[in-house]
Amino acid sequence: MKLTNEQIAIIDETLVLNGIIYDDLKLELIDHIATDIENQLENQERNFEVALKIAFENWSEQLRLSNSFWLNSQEAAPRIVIDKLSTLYKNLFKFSLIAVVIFSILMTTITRLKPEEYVYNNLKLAFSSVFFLFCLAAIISMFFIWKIKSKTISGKFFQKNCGFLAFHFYMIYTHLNGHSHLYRYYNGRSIFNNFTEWFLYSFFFFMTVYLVMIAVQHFRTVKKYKLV
Amino acid sequence: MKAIMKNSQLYKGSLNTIIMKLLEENGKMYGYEITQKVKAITQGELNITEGALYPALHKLEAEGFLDVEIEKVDNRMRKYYKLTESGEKETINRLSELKDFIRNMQSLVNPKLEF
Repeated sequence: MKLTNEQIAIIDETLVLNGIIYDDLKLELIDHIATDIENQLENQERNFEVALKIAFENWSEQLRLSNSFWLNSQEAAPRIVIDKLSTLYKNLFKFSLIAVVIFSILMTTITRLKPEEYVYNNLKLAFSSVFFLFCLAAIISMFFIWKIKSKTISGKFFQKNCGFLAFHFYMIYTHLNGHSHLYRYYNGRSIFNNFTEWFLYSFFFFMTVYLVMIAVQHFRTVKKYKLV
Repeated sequence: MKAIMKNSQLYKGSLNTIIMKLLEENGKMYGYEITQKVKAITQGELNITEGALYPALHKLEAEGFLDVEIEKVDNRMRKYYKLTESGEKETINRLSELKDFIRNMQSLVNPKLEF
C-alpha cells in the first residue's frame, strides 16, 4: 500500500522536529521510513500511526541528541548529523596536516637549494596570490550557499567554518607585508625556523582549500539530488 | 550491525564487504532494500540496523567506491547506490580477503591434525 502525500509530509515534519533539517540526509531517511511503513501496512496490517511509531523507534539511536569533541560547540544535534560533521572535521585536519607537511618540506628545500632573494620573494608572492584566490572562491561560495537555500551537511560544515576567512586574509597580509617575513630574516634562520614559517601559513591555506572543496561538494549534492 | 545471532562483533568487520557484494550482484540498491535482502538471504538471522548501514554506505561513497543516483519513486525521491569502477576492483579484493579469513577460521576451529 503506497503512502499518500500527506503521510509523506508527516514523516518529513517528524524528521525536522527531530533535527534532521538537511535535505540530502532527509531525502534518504524519508524514503527508508516510508518504505518501512508501507511494508508494515502490507504485511502486518498495522495502521499508519502505529507503523510510523515503530519505524521511528528503529532510528531512535541515530536521532538521539548528541555532541562531539570535534565540533567544539554547545549546539546538540542528532547523532547521525554529528557523526557526519565530525568525519568532515577529522578529514579537514588530516588533509591539512598531510598537505602542509609536504608543502613546507618542499618550500624549505627549494629556498635552501636556491637561496637567492628573488626565489624567496617570488615563491611568497605566488603562494599569497593562490591563497587570496581560494579565499575569494570561499567568499563567492558562501554567497551562493546562502542564496540557494538548500541545506546539506557539507553546506552546514562550510558555514560553520567560514568565519575564519577574515583571519585568513589577515594572514596573507602579514605574510606579504610583515617585516619578519623579509628575505634577510628568513635567510638567517635555521632550517627548522624556515619550515615553521611555511608550516604556519600553509596550514591556513590548506584549510581554505578544503573548505572550497566542501563547498563544491555542497553544490554537487544540490545538483545531483535535484534540491533546487 | 546488530545481528540476532550470539556474537554480532564477528560480523562488524564484514559489513562493507557484504554491502559491496550485494551491489555487485544486484547493480543498484537503496538502503532499505539492502537491509531486507540481507534478512532474506540469512533467513532472518542477520539484521543490519539503520545505525550501522548508513554510516557504512556514506563512508564507502566518500571513499569513492560507491556512486549515487537519485530517482523519483511514487511520491518521493529514492537514493540508489551502485559500485564505481574502483568499487568493483575493491569488492574483488575484499571478497578474496574474506574467503581467506573464512578458510583460516575453518582450519583453526576444526583443525585436521597431521603428523
